[in-house]
Amino acid sequence: MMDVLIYKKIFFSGLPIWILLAGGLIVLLVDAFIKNNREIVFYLGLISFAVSIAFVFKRWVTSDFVPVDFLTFDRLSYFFILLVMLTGFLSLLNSHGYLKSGINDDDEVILTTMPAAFVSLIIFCVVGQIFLFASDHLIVNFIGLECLSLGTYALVGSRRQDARSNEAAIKYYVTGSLASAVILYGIVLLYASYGTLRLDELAQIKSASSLGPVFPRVAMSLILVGFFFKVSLVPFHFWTPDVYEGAPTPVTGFMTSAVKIASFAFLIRLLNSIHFFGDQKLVSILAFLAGLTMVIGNLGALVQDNLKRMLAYSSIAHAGYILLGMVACYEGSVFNVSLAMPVLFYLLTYLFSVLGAFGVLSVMIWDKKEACQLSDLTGMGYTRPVLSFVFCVFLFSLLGFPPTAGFLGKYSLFSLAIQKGYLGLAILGMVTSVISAAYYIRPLVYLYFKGEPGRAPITLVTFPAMFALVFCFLMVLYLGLIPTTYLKMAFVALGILS
Amino acid sequence: MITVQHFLALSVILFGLGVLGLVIRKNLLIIFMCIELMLNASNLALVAMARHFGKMDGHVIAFFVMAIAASEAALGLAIVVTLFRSRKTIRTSDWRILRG
Repeated sequence: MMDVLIYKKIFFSGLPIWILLAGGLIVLLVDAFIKNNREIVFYLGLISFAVSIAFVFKRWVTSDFVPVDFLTFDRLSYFFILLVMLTGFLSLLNSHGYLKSGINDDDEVILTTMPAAFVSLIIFCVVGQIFLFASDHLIVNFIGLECLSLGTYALVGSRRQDARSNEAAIKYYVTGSLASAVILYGIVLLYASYGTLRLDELAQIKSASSLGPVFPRVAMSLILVGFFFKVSLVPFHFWTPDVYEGAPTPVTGFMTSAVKIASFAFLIRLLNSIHFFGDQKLVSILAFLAGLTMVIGNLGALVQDNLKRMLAYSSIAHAGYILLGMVACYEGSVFNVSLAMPVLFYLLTYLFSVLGAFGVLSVMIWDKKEACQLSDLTGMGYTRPVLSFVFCVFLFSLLGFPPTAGFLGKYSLFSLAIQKGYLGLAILGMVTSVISAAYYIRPLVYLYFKGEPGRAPITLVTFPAMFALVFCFLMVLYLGLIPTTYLKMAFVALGILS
Repeated sequence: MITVQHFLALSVILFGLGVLGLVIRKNLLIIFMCIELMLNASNLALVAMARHFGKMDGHVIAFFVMAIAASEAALGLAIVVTLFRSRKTIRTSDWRILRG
């Protein structure tokens, strides 16, 4: 009798996730029975995202959720569930043109991917992300991570005829599997040390492990290193530019936003629970990595001629800024989650800026391939004025220029860091932001000031893609001008306000 | 007398061999085997420790890990097949398109 009650509770408190999951399965079923189903599966995917986002939002407002057993449905989880569902929704909208694009030898637009597989993989990735951070059992987290990673490997390789896509997939697969195996071994060593994998039980542990003090530290380091791979922090970033360049553009957008958000959400939960690392060393290491990542990410982006590679390095730099915010949440050696508001807000602003920028790149095609060289943009400011303007706004937001969302995100991060005494790191962050202006402004020069337009790229601005661009554009401006609602949301997520 | 420490030591050695192989070997299939070795090292430690603690959860988790390893291998082989079709090689030193 007891069991039935628990299942009922799990069913109702996770309802938006089950709806999304059901949508993904229905998409696969439709693929089995209906031919030429591109539009059908695309809109089915959109509808399941829209319905579950509406559900999550309603529950968010009414606080209608309870943690059940190892599924931690609380305010923080629901905030991140909302974020990753939005990334999935927007990435799907971005990929509408891509699903029908692909150009054959006669310059005709043909279908190159299996749309049902693509749509359902995005949905399953999002579900995996949710389990990555909305659980306090490390094995459930790990299964969520694998669900996310396996889906992303397949998405990266989804343009099967393209050798670049294949190469990116295998590179991501090898590095990603290494990271997953390292994370798993760290989890296993934690189990070996304390005999439990529940984060809430691990948080209570005061005594040393029976196997000695080294084991839990090694375990924790392995888990952290694995996640640094996944969010591409600097000594572990070498795969990022190659994979981001080779992956289909909408998938790159999905990876830069969704994978990072989910991994950072999990890191917040992990660092918040596990204190027994218990010394200042971890904080110094994290601070060092944050500084290194900001410097190398921004310097690397300076020398790129390929827009996707440039945005890849820029996303490495952004991971550094986010880590800086997390370092600033430490009080002594204890992670204080209630200070994490700037990190949450930064992730929100970053989501819309980066998905907008990749949305613009997704609709441009150049000579049988994606237009992603800087020189492809020459003169496009005059032939495609609206698209170019919107692209510039997204780049300015990534740079952190005042009227856009990115400015407030960076401002709140740096002011937190200064308050907590990380003056040097904050100054380093600001200096690297100024350096980053050099490469964010280069596309703008090509768009407007590089002489006569050549042949303009073919643009496939379908209605859904346009909807995504307009939505991101409005959110970037809205968060930059009137952020109070969402700042309050971030506060509420941390339980500071109710 | 074989104690739990022996099992853990073996598991650490296997995991180290997996990492080493993944770093120095050039053949993709060998790299896959190294990844499997790392996951199975985790399984060994899990089962040994579960027996040591007298709990069931470690044994159950080992089955989850096996399922994950299987799906990872399936996806990896699929990627290798598509790569081989377009490139006719599975040596890692031949990946040259993407660099900068």
